[in-house]
Amino acid sequence: MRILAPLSSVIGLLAGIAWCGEASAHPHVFVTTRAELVFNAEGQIAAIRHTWSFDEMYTAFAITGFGSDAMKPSSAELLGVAKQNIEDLAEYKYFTVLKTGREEAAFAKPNDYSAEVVKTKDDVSLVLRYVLPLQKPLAIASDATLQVYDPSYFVAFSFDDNGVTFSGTSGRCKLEETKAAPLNSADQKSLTESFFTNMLPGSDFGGKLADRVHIRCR
Amino acid sequence: MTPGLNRLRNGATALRLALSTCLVAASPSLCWAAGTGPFGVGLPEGNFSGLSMFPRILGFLVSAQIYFNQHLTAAVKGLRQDSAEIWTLLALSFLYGVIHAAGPGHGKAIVSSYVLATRQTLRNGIILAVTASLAQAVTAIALILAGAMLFRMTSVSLTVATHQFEIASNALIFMLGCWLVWVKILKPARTLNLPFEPVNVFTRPATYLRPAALAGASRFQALPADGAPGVSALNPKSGKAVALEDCDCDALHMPDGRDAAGPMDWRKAWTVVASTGLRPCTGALIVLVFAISQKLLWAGIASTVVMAIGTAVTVSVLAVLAVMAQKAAYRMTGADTRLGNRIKRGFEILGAVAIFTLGLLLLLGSLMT
Repeated sequence: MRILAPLSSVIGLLAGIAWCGEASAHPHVFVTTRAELVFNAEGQIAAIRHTWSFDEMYTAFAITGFGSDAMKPSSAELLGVAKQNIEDLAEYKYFTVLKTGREEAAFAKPNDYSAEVVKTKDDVSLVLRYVLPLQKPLAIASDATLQVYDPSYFVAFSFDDNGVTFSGTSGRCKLEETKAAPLNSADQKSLTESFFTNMLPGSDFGGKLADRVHIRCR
Repeated sequence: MTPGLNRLRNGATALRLALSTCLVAASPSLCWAAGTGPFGVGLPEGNFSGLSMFPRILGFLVSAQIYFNQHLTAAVKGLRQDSAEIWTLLALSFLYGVIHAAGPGHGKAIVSSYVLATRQTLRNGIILAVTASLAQAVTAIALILAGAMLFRMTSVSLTVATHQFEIASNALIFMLGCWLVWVKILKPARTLNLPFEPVNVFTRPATYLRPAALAGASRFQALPADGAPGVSALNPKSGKAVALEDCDCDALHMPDGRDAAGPMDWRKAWTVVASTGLRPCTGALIVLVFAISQKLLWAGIASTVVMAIGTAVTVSVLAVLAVMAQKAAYRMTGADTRLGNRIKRGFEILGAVAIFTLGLLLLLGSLMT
C-alpha cells in the first residue's frame, strides 16, 4: 500500500500527459503548394512567392458565412481572409523552412498578399498568394533545402508537381525536388534511441515526413 | 510512525507529486492541444511529437486522412447526380469515425479512465461510450445549424465558438478529475485508512503537519487543528473528518463513488458525456459545412451521426478493455484478498490521476491561448 498510491499516481500522470500530448496526426486541411524562389541581383534568395491551394472541403469551411448566399465572398472579404491568415501564419513561421547548412532563414512580415476562390469544372479551391520576404537575403554556398510543412500535421502540405521555380538571378543554381520518402531504418533506430528528445518541442521529425526541395548551386 | 500517517503521507505525497509534475509538464508546447488551429479552422487535437515514435502509424493515419478527405468530398458531390452515393458516404463516415477515434481526441481517454476510476460494469462502460460519442455529433450539428446557417458565422467565429466550448469541456474534465482525486485518493487516505489512533490526529495535529512530505502541500493539507475553519464535519462515530476544506471540488457535493457501480449513476457520469460532447470533432464540422455548400445538409447530418456511431464503436472497445483488464486482475489475485484490494485501489487511483492530469493540462492549455 505504501508504494501503491504514488506508483499508480505516477502511471496515471504519465497516461494523462500522454493522452494530452497525443499526436493530432490527422490533417484536416490539405494544401497544394507552389513556391517561387526570388533571387536578387547578387544571386541570393531574397523572398519566396507562395501560392497555396486549399482542398475543396476546407475551402467550403473557409468561405462559409460570406457573401449573399454564404458561400460567395466578395473581394473585400477575401482580402480579409488573406490578411487574417497571414497574421496567424507568423506564429507558425509560415510553415516554411529554408536552410543552407545549419543556417535557417528568418522571415519578415509579408505585406503583399491576396486570396481568391478558383472554380474549375469539378473543383472549387481557395488560393492564398503571398510574398514571404527573408529578413536578410540568403547566400547559398553550395546547397539549400526548402520545405513547407506543419510539424503538428494539422495541415498537410505537399508540393505541386514542378511546383518550385526560380526567378531573378539564380545563376548556377539548380532544383531537385524530393517527394516525402518513407523513413529509412536509420531513422527508425534513432527514433527509439531518442525517444525522449523526440517528445520535446523543437525536434524536427515532421520535416522528415515532408516534401523537400534541394537547391544546388555549384 | 503510525500506519495511518503513512497512508496520509502517501496520499499527500502522490498529490504533491502530481501537482508539481503537472505544472512542469503543462508547458504549452506539450499541450498546445487547446490552441486554435491555423487557417481559422478547428482545434488541433495535440501535437505531433506524441506519435513521432511511431512513424508507421503516423504515416498510416496521414494517408488514411487524405483518403477520407478525397473520398468524402467525392461522395457528397456525387450525391447530386446519384443518390446511391449515400451508401458510399455512410460507409466512409462510419470507417472515418472508427479510425478517427483510434487516433487523438480525449473522449476515449476520459471514458476509459472514468470506467477505471469508478469500476463501472461492462454495460455501463458501453452506454457511456455511446452517449458521449453521440453527444459529440449533436454538438457539431447544433453548432453548424445555429452558427453557420442561422447566424451566418464565418469559419473564424465558428472556431472561436468551438474554442469556448472547449474551455467549458476542459473545465468539466478538471472538475471531474478533482472530484475523483478527492474521492479516490485523498478522502480514503484521510478517513478510511486511519484506523489507528484517530484521536491522535486531532489532539496533536501539529505532529502531522510537520513532516517534510506535507510541507508546501498546504492547499490540500489534510488535518487542520481542532475547530479550524474548513473541517466542516466530524464523523460522530469515529471522530474523523469527513469533509474537505477548500478543494474546488467541494462545490460539487457529489456522492461518494467508492461503491462499485451498479446501474449508471448519471449524477456523476454526465460530466463525462458533457466534457466529451462539448468538443465537436473538426472533421464533422468541416463535412457539415461542405455538405451545406453543396446544398445537401441532410447528407452532412447523416454523415456526422454515422461518424459518431463509428467513434462509439472504438470508444466502447477501449472502455470494454478497461473493464476487462480490471476483471482479469481481480481474477488472478482473488477480488477479496489483500492484493486484490490493492489492485482495485491501484486502478481507481490510476484513473483518477489520469483524468486530473489531463483536465489540468487541457484547461491550462486552453486558457493560455
